[in-house]
Amino acid sequence: MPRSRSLLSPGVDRFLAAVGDGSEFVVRFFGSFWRPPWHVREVIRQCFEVGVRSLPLISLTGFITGIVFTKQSRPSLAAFGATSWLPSLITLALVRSLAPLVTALVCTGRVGSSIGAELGSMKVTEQIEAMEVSAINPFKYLVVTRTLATTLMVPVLTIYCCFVGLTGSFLNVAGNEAQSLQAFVKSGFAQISFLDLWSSVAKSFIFGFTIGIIACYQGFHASKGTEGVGRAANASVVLAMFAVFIEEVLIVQVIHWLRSV
Amino acid sequence: MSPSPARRSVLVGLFVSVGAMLLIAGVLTIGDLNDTFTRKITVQADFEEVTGLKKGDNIWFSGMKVGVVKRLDFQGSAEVAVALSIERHASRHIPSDSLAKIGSDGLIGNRIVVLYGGTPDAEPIAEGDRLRVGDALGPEEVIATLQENNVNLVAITTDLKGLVARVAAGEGTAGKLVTDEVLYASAQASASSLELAARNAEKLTASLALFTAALNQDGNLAHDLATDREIYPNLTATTADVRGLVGGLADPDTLVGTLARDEAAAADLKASLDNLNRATALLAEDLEAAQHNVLLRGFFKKRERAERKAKEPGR
Amino acid sequence: MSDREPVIRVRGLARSFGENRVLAGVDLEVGPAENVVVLGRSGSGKSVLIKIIVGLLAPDAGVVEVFGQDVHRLRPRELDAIRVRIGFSFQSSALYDSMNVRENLEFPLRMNRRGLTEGAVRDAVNEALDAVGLAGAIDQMPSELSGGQRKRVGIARTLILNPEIMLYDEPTAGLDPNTCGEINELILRVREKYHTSSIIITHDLTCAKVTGDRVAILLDGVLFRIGTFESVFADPDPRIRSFYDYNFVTKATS
Repeated sequence: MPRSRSLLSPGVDRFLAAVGDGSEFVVRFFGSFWRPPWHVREVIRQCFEVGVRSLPLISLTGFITGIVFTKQSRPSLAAFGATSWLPSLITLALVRSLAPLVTALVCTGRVGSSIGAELGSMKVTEQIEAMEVSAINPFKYLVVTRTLATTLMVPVLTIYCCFVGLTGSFLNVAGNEAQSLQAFVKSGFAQISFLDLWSSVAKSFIFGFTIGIIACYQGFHASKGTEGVGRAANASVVLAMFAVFIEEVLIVQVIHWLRSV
Repeated sequence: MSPSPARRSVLVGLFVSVGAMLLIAGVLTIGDLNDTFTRKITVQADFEEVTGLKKGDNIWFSGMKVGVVKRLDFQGSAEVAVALSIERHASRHIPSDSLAKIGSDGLIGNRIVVLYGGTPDAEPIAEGDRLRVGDALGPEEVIATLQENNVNLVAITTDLKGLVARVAAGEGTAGKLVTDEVLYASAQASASSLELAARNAEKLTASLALFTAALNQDGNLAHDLATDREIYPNLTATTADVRGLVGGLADPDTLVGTLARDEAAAADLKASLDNLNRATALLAEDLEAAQHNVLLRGFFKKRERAERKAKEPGR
Repeated sequence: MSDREPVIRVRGLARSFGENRVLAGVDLEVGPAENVVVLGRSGSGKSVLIKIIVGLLAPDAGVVEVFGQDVHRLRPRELDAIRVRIGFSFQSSALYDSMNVRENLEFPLRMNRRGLTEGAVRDAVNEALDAVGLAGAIDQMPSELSGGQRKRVGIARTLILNPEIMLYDEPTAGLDPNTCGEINELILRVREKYHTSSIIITHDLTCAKVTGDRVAILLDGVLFRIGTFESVFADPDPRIRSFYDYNFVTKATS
């Protein structure tokens, strides 16, 4: 075999190789997720792990986000004598941006790291190869099921997060401005359009997919040894968070464009 | 440690169902407030400038939200065609001769389209109507005007301050007026007479104005009289004839001369002339009545309309 | 050599990892119900050989035929059909951490034989666990098992599909001598019961001597000698002698 020289520099080559592998991984997902076998039971199990098990954490985070955001926004609005705008401000912020982002970040930390570590250790201890020689496609059994679970569950968690966040915000507004629930809902939702709602749901689908596919990729490509497992878990979180923010920026541009059309 | 697969499925199902219900609740709430499901009509208004109005901004009529801006398009080089989507149930109360202007929802609020004016007996707006555009009064203009007012107010106050100081010191007519009681009383008396005179003068002027206006009105007798160029030469000719006739009257030999000297005939003639006079007076009365009935009614109506029109844009 | 058609036929197999030329033209044939032991030092590419045979790794050159089919020219579905007939015992046992022993054994069965009744699955699991002598550990998690038990569960998991070929990767590595002996017996018992052809990768000469019908030594990327244990180690080649001596010194001291 001829001695292989790096194309540009070793670092750049490694980066480009990772981009290439990652793209292939994504393409492989879309090429296989709609074909049987579907491993429905495993998908449900993963949905349980990703969705139901994350609910307490998401609820707590969403609740605190709602309360804190309301409290912090009040002084600025009070300067204009416009505290009556609090509900619409909070609802807009939560629905458009905070809920999808908070949910995605919490899920990255909780779910992304656990998937990265789980698949990483399976890779290191040859469990993935064991699956392959048992004539079970590990990509379908492990990657497709987990990525589907995060893609489906993160939007649901986002809805919960939104709801709980608004509840927190309402409690704070009710305590300070003595506003009724009906008034809160009415003024809160007056500024929200369907575009806001659907774009948020679509956004969280993309976030969920990103979290799942990145964690699975990192786990699947973990290097040998226990160190590789730790690195896979860590890289899952860091890369997924980074990707989520980049996507947020891009999606906001797209929605902005849609809004103007 | 971990629940059984069956229990897990139930929990996942519950989790997703509750999430879906929350989503649907949100959708319905938004739908309710944004009236996505109410039927709407679309009308158009062409603005020279829309000062930042955008799709989805609210439309107000009598301070009530009745719809949203549906679309903005350039029309030619100087106009923006704004499509207004208005709820059908509200559209029944908006006259088709309403004006549209761009306003603002509070000083720093969103842009809105305000529908105003319009006469109650006009037809309500219908799909595809084109609304006339009134003057926009955005917050910038309001603030600019306020600023100008402030400057003027300061100037006025300063002048007033000086004036009052001088009056208090008894300088000038006003000062003397203020200080002299007798003069004041007589001045007041003359002022009230003056006021009365002025009021009468005003009435007079008004009547005069009315008459002049009537005179200018085409197609009535007075106008014809005033403007007809045929009558005057005829009149001159008639006068010459009459002069000849009078000359003839002095001649006792003529029939008229005889008539003129005949006492009885003269009495008859006088009686006839009296009758003629009375008839003429009646005719004048009739004419006046006719003027009130036909001419002035139309005239007043027009004047009223013009006055209203002049007031409206300032509203 | 068996006079019947060989089950596995490897010709001119080569594979490098970067600068490291691990396999450089390996030829090997395994007949029906034959145990072939491949001996070699750590890092000499023994594991690579069987991973290429089962299609986990692709060769740079050479042909691998299993049941007369070229493994690396098959479509995924055809490859899977062959893999179902091959059992692979991993060095690290590779039990699924998230599943207990029963679920570990059920997993390949449920995935490959859809439509089996619950009873049939239970019977198959019990039979495979009986074959490795671990019927009592059925509800334990892999983390609760000892190294030897894990190895045996791993073998049971491959036996559940009634394989025709068994590939053992270092079956005795990291185990104490008593357990090694038990595993060696298990390998023989499996051949007896399931009539499997096997390739056993090891650096343990005792294991090689007990289980192997034929022994091959992998040196510098090629199979240096193939034959019975005695005939191979009768060779005076110093590299073979040093290998033999080292093993026997360790055996003697333990």
